[in-house]
Amino acid sequence: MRPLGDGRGRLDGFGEIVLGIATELAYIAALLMVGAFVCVAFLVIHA
Amino acid sequence: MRNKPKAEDYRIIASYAGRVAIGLGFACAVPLLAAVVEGEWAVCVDFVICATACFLSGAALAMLMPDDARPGWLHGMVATAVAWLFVMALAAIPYRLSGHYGSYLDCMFDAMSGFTTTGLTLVGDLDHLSAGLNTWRHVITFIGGQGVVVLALSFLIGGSAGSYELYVGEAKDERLFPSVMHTAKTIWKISAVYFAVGIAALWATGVAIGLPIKAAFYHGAWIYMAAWSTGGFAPMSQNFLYYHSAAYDAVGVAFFVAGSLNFALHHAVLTGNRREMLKNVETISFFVTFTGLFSVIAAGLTRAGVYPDFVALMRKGFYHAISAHTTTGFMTVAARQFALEWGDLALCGMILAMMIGGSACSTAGGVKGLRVGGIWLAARHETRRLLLPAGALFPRKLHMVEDRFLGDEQVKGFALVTVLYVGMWAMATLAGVAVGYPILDAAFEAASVSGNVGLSIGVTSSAMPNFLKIAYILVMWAGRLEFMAVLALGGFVVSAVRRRR
Repeated sequence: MRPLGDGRGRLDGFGEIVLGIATELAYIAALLMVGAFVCVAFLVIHA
Repeated sequence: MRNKPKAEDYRIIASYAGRVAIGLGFACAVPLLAAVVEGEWAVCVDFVICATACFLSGAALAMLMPDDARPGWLHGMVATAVAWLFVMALAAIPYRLSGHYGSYLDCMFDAMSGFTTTGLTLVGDLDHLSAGLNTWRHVITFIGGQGVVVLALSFLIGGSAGSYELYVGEAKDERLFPSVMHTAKTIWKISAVYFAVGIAALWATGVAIGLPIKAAFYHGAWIYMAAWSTGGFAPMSQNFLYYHSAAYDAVGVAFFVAGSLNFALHHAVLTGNRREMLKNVETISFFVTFTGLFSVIAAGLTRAGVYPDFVALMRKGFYHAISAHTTTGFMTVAARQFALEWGDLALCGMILAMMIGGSACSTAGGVKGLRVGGIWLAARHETRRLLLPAGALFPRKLHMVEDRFLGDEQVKGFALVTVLYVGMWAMATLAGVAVGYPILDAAFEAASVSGNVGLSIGVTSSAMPNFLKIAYILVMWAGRLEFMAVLALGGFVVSAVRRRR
């Protein structure tokens, strides 16, 4: 079985790690926004 | 039919299980330190006893490894399944010595719940648990999230023969590097990065919402370990409701969603491949299934009129939907509120979310986004094949860090594990109904144990029948190992028994 990861980078770049965590937080924020949109939509429908 | 297992087979399996037990012995140092700092001397003795049991039994078994051992797939798979049961029994020792549990079975239930990152608990008087024992609960969840075998691979077994088979047996069949040992260590490095960030964030938030500085640190550490591992244990009986804080909820969500992402994805993103976040099959799959299922849950909750305003719907509906889908199990409602207030539609949405779960090669449970995405891509490919002219060629691929060919064997594997999950959930539901619980309650709790989630509708308690406790232990174990190691153990036992007739 081939390795799934790219196997290239090393976890030693502070800047890359900070930007990486920020990217993952942006994804989580997007989930939060979708949740907020769904909440508003169904509250309006049932109002 | 496989040949009758030889003495060498048993010795190899026992030896690997022993090394994993030694790893657990070293892990006892963490709660021991907490107990020493807090002056909980009786608790210190409990952990010394547990560590001694781990080291003695582990060393005795580890010495059984034959000199000319040639470990194979069967040994790795069976050893993983056996090791998880063995460490469950050992990790239960401090629970039993604490006096907070009614029986050793209850202690083993909590230990398996911790290792599998499920988060259901049978503990009594949780609010007065010692700091040492609370640390132990969360440490075994944290270890279980990364993998009990991954821990042993990183620090004890190393790159010896059979390490890859052990690694695969623990349902982490994806590697970040050609070397399994390098992969295992990288998994721990990624967790260490988030460990520092997570404890700092939760400690600061805890202080900001009014917890004393020392308590905020302990709560931050415990909650981080449970969140990152998608575990669901919390130090107080009210679970996350104890904090009564939207800020604390939000920080918790950030870390349990991060914990539910694939370690290969973390590695790619943290080493500069940030566009992977947008292209990865599992992030896309999770986004789509979460949006759909939260729509179902929100529809059910608004129809039931249980959370009439935006803030309440977000803090209860959204929070539990994402807690379910990431298989975390943190709760901000009482268990019976699900049954009495949420309504059937919202509960059905929650059951599906728990079953789908998070990402492969993550701390999360469930069928996993990789399989859902893979099956969807295969179905779309088959549909296109029917619609396009005969002989038209188009690629069937899946993007996971890089574009990969989605072969029939892989699709078959995805479908097989999905069918086994659904079958196990049906059996666990049947077990709940058989002992007298209503079908929706039984189905909800069964989804929670099958997907290693930890949300409870009120079925799980120390008063539930022993039959159901044992059934749930087995379901949590099989679900966490994604069946292959458990099936290998079953086959091994059958081959041993049949030849003896």
